[in-house]
Amino acid sequence: MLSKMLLGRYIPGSSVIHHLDPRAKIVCVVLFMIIVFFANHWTGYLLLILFVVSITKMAGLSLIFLFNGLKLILILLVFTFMMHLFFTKGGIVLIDATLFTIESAGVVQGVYITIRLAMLILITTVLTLTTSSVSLTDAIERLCRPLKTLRLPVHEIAMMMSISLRFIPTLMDETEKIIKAQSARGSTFMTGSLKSRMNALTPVFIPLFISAFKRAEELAVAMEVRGYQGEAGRTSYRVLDWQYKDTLAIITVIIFGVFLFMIRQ
Amino acid sequence: MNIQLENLVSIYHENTPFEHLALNNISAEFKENTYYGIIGHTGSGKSTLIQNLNGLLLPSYGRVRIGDITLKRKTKQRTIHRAKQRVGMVFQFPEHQLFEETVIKDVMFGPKNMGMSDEEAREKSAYYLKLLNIQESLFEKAPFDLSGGQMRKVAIAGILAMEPKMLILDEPTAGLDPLSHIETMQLFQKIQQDMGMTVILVTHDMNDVYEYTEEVKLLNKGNMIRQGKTEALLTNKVLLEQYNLEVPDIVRLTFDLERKGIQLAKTPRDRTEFIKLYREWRDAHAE
Repeated sequence: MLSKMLLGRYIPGSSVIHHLDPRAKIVCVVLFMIIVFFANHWTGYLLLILFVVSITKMAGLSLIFLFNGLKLILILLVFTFMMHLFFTKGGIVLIDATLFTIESAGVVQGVYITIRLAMLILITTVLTLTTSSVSLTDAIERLCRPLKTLRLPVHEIAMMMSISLRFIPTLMDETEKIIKAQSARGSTFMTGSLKSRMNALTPVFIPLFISAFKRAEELAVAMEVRGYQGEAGRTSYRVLDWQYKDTLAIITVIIFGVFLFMIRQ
Repeated sequence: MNIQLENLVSIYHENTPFEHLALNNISAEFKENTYYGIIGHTGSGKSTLIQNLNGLLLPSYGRVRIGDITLKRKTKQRTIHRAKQRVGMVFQFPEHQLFEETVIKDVMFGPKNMGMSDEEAREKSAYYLKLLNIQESLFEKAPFDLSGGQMRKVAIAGILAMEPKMLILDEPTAGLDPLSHIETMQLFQKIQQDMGMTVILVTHDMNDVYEYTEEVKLLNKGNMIRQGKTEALLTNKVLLEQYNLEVPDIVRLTFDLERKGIQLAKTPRDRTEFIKLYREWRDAHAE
């Protein structure tokens, strides 16, 4: 059930995208998030889709695989579409029922916003699928370093992030194990009313929390005995190496953005 | 009630880059009132196999027959639910599944899910808790206040109280001290004999497999390599070493003695038998 979830997962590979500096990738994704809003008619949206699809291909990921992994997100997309469908007014009235009306502007707006959201989700998924969580947090720590002048504990925040990312798969495994143990005792998660399904979660969450707290305490002790005391005096084993291709990647995204801005109507 | 596996194939993450063939065309049978051992190196498919025996996983291809229940790729939840009542499963570190406020309530969770009334579930739970040496004074305590060994017993009682016809044990002694280890294994043996239950033991501990089980199934990389009597398979040093499995201590000792010229009448199954056979040998060679 959880096995097909793609969020936060990393698939090792050797594509161009995999080899980009994680800092470059993050900057590109942030830029893309802004660029997405430049598109305001169908050519723009078509270009956006084309751009994302080609990046996915460059990363060596199959679209069908991505789609299967993001099925849960589909609910969100459908919901967004529906909201626009029913509540955005304007244009020609397409359906006029007593309870609601659907107008053409709603359909158009719904499609556009859904594409925007889908592209954002896809591009960020490509980022996490092609970047290991360790290099991702390394990159965030480096990118946030200027904030240290504001007395923000950048290193500690990055450490917290990398620890939580590190434990997502562990907790997933644990959850799956507990679900199995409880369903072997006849607990049903897949059938019954919503209420009984909600009740079925208690036997999963209590053991999960207990083990998570235990794990956290053990980890804290293990870090302390190895002399961890925050950032003081730490050097990095992994060194991030910025290359031409990283600059090139950012420039490409900017050019794409500028182009999209120019064809705006 | 027998369990039959017919050409069972199990594939994880089918149609994704993570696709992995865990079980490859397995056919096997588990008969009534028999103590089975499933052995194999890490990643041989042992866990996948046992999860197929009570519907936690459904076969990708082929089928599993549990008495008159048949589990296939697309079996309905209701049927799977019945399979779970028939085949109880004690997972590794079963104490991690405890969640209720009191010991007795936790044990009652399984039986109640299987449709027993409150009173019946309480009665069964009390019976099995006592069978596992949990005193009545502990019934109303929070399970998390018990010792590790007691917690494990409570968790095991939670499975037994569902009164399954078959019991699967996945590394039941992991993390136990030597004394509790022996206690637990003897307890399962007693349950198996007294109730005439089928027990399937999955473990890396070849000594336990050799001492307690009657039949063994050897898996490697998702294939069923060998099925047969325990004393035949676990005394086959060449076979065990070929699949990276340890030879049971008593078997190894017997072989070592043989090399030194001490030939026992047969390979003993446990310590007592070993001592008996050794005495016989000494008496025969006394001068």
